Amino acid sequence: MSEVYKLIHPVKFFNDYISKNVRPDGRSFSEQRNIKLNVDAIKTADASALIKCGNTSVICGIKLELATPKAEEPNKGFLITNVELPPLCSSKYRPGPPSDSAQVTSNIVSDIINNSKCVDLTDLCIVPDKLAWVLYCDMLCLDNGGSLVDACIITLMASLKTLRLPTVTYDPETEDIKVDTNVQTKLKLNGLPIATSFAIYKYMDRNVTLVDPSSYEEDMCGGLGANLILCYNKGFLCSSQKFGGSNFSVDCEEKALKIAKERAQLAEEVIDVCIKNYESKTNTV
Amino acid sequence: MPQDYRRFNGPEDSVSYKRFTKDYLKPYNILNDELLNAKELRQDGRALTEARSMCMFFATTQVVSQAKGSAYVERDKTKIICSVFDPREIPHQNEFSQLGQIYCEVKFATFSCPRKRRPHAPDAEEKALSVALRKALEPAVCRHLFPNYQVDVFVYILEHDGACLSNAINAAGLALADAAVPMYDVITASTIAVVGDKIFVDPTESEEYVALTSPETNINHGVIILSMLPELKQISDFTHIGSMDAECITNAMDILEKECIKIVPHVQKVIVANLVKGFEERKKLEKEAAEREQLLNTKMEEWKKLLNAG
Repeated sequence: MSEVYKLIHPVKFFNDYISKNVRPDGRSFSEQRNIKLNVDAIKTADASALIKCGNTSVICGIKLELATPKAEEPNKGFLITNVELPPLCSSKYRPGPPSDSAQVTSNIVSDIINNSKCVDLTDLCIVPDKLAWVLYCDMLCLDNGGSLVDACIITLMASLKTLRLPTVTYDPETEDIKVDTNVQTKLKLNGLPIATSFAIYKYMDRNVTLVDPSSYEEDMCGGLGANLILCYNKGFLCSSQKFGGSNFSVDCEEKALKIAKERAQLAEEVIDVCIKNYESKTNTV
Repeated sequence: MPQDYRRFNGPEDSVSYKRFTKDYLKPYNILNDELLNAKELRQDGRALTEARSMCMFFATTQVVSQAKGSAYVERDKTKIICSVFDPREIPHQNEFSQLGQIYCEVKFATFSCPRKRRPHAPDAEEKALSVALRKALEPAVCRHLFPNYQVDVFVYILEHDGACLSNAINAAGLALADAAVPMYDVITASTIAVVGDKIFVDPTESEEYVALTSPETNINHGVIILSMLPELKQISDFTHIGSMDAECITNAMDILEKECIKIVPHVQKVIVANLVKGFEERKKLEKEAAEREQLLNTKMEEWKKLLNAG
């Protein structure tokens, strides 16, 4: 019955919930979905992590490669991040080249990672002007249930945290490269950006901010994905983006900033616990 | 190669670090010897005829919530996810087609292969797998029931450790059943790899690799994939790569048939379990709805009384 009502009167259906101060999936406005994280699920990748945040699930795999650095930046390595939204994850996407929304999401994630400077690219250089690491980080969405950027960033950071770089010896005379996978070093991370998505909905004459929106809520609020994305990096705001949706008052913004800050701490805790469990497991084996 | 402007690209000359490790290029005979240990057991401790245990899991809401039906199949390290969407009109087609169509797309995740990183753009192997999957599924689905419509089947290989196509077929069969697409029978598939006189059932990636590299001596080698509809005793797809004598193939067919039939109870169990779960959930929802209605009715009675009294 409610499914029919939802199809015939989509706006009224949504408004009925909002007027009762509850969201269609039973959450309150500022409640977020549980985060489930698993690291090192894919053995063929050099590092990997899988996140499930409500229905949204994203898997991130990192493949390591070697290349010569760019001539204009001879002492820097490469960090290439891509978000893939295959037609498998939602009926919104069609097979073929990446859709607009995949490109937009890819761009946001790459901006956040590069601007937060969490990976120092000079650490990825092995021999200046000759050899550097290339980190191909591919995030693959298996189920698009909204708040995609949040999930992408968390998986990416979790897999970067588990990444181990093998030692490389480079002979400058013969240009001979040798890789020893037995001795591995951890990649140094400075900071940990965590994004939080919001959807902003105008109901009567007040603005409602929905934290961690599902894909249905994102659709109802208009725009490509979430309306507002705030990203905190160890207590500092490192990115904020507003896409479409309705207008946004100052006190709403203050509230959203506070929620984003709290969520960043929570997500950090989740990642720490997950990595700790993983490390204790790998050390005992 | 033309540049892909829709994605972020790395440097063009990048190569996997595995290229420079000690055991990157091993000669064929060493690789071949490594497959079996002294006790005639495989690297993961299985006997030659032993298939890997299968972990199957499918549900509409738990794997891919946005899809009509979905399935996840894991065979030790091989991990495959599949989703099926509602039928939609066949795009870009003028003529009426009597039979419904199945659109299949198989894709490897960029990090799925142990040897090299896969490109984002679809390559020939993915296309070949897509066509093979479509050909295998077509005889199993009652296509006359949805003329001029197509059902989309998307398969993503998250980790490749051998027997990809057969597990993709298993996953797609489950996902189609989950999406309630009418089918004649359960569809199952299995793979074997042949190296000389040895037959590896359900091979891993390294075993497949050895079976597909042709040695200098002229011995039997290759990979055979067979998918069948076990109740109807029909073979829906048979793929054979490599060279071997006819006797070897007939022998292999017998083994494959047995393997396919072995999977059936697992598939049936998953389907039944899911159906039961769905029924229980529906019953619970109906019960809750009935309770709500009763509450509403009693309230109506009260109001009516108040009205009458007034």
